[in-house]
Amino acid sequence: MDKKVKNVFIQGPITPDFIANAIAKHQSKTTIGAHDIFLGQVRADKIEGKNVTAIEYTAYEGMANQKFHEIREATFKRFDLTCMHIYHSLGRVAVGEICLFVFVSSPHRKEVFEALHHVVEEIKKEVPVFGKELFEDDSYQWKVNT
Amino acid sequence: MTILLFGVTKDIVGSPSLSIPSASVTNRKIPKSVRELRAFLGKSYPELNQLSSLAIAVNNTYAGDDVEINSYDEIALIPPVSGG
Repeated sequence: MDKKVKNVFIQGPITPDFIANAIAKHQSKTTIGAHDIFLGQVRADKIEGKNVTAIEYTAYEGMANQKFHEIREATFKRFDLTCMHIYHSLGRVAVGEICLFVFVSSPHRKEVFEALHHVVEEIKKEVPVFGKELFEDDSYQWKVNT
Repeated sequence: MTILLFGVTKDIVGSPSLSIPSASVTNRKIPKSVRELRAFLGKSYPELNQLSSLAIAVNNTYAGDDVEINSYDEIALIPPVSGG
């Protein structure tokens, strides 16, 4: 099908409107019987007494888009999916805002649950995206996925 | 040879990329593999050794220590990732 490497990145937070539109666009695809959605939200962590106010995302964009593409292709091979969409923020995303949106669709529910879990875990582990946790006093620390 | 830097490696080196002279003007050995590059960088920037992980990408792919590198390759340091 679509073998082109897509650009996954969006500047700033992913808005609820954007997500709603993505859902609306799938109403014409009537072979779909199940969607599953993952939304990563920036958490107000407290680290050594300081509050995180936002995460600033940077990425090795060329490689990251390549990795997202490989993850997509491998997931399509493994699961019976109708479609899959991935969006990730770059730049500043405040606490409470959305920084990752993964949307998978299939004729049946079992596939979407498993595929979504797989995709999100792969993204967290493999894709060269870097989050800088910004504190209220203008200091920062680099986040590490666990 | 230019090494692209991301995340905390940018802070450690203090710049978005790092040039390793490929001519032997400096009389230093030029790294020819990922393993040699790792050793070279660890010596020049000991803080890199303190990271919980440090991957090296060659031409947009994570590269093992035995992979050979050349000046025309796109090489990047990938500290612990934190997407999502």
